Amino acid sequence: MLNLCFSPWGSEKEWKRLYVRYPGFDVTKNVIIVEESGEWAGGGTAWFREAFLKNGDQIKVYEAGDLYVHQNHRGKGIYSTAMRTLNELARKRGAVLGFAFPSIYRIPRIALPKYGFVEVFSPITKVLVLNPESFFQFLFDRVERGYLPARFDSIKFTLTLSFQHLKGKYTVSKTFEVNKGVIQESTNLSSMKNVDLKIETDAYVLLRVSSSLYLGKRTLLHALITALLLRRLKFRFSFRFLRMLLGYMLD
Amino acid sequence: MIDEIIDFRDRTHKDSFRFVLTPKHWKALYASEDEVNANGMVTVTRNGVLRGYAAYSLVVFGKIRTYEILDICADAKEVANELIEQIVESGLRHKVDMVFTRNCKEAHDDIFAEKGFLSFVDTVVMAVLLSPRELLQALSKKTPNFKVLRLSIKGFEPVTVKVGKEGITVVSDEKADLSVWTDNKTFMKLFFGKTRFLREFVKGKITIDNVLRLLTAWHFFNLIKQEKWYIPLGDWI
Repeated sequence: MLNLCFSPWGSEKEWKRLYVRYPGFDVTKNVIIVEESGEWAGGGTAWFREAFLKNGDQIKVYEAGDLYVHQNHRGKGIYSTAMRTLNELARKRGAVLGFAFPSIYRIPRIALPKYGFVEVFSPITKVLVLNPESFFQFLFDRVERGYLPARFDSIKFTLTLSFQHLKGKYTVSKTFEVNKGVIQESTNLSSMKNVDLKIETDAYVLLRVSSSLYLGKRTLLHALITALLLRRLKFRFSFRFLRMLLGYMLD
Repeated sequence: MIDEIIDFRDRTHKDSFRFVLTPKHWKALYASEDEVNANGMVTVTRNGVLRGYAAYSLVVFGKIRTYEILDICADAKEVANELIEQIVESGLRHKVDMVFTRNCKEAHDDIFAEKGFLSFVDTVVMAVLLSPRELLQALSKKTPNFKVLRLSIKGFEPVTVKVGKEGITVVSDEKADLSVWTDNKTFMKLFFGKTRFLREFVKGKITIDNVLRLLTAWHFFNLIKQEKWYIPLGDWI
């Protein structure tokens, strides 16, 4: 079920590591299943742990994870049921605080505030590139994993990325299309002409700007203006794209 | 060795909000080995004394091989530098494409930029308040010369606390000198130092019945605030 919903989640060994070998973990007490009309529709898991406060005292906390909903049951409140049940289960088992570690690109970051969660820390991700070719693959995969608001549907954009590595400067270009908010690489040769937006930048700026897309308009604007002033971002766009962008910024 | 590592981590981050790490947790979260992840560890010792360690994991996504640094803990910049060099050397030997780390704010943070790491934000740590009474109880200690504050957090039973110069004590059935109202999200942000008391007060997220006691409320939130945190990637589920 986890592999079906997360496509993929992981191996059976990985499951045993987190679910069976985790100290104090009891599958019958830490895992919840949500059923709808007798069908397994979703679920979630609570991992319990102690935490130190600054005065050295300890409190019980829980980590919420592996919240999933089967695709046939999405949009029916299964996620809400699972999340509320997990919080209640944790409270009854003595947890004082709950934690979650969502990616900024995924739905839980947007959904969790409904269940009382609030962003408390912003860890900084750092990456050292040893193989530039794979790094480009990683970056383009990342672009395709992103989503854009519906107003950007049907735009085409070309992304030219450069990266300065010890072995030399690397530059790669790809064209993408937005379809129902999903960004996909365009394989249609004719679509490579008439693109709405041409972006030339370096890998660092792409990482900064793509994450700021999800961190709020002010952060996005700051990242864009900084990159433009430092001449690390160049773009050309059509009137159609400008209209969409202004609409999004003023919304 | 695991006991020594846990002791070192606790000493290095003794003032930080952090999860308790036991040898069993270490084994499950940091030192596991299976077909997906191959974990490794590097240490630096000087004159037989542990000065730093790092735990990392090989993660394979399709054709991309990455090392994820699960935890890196050092008592000096040059030690952190040596640990990173050891991981990178191992990465090059094992044909790893990238080395990732998701850092808490640390003393030797600038070393990553010096080594050529690119930094960005792609994850957040979120927290939910489940029991304010238990939380404040854990922070309680004897408090002479106090004022009594009644804290009402939306969705929870009010908690009465004595607020002294150096600490707080949870009490019951005491007449309050002031009452403070807030919501659970504002409380959490204040608790983890994500926002400032005055800012939230001006925004109307905190209400006080006796404005003359504003400094007591401010002092209360300063006393409970967890300024530092240490939840490395290995502790994440």
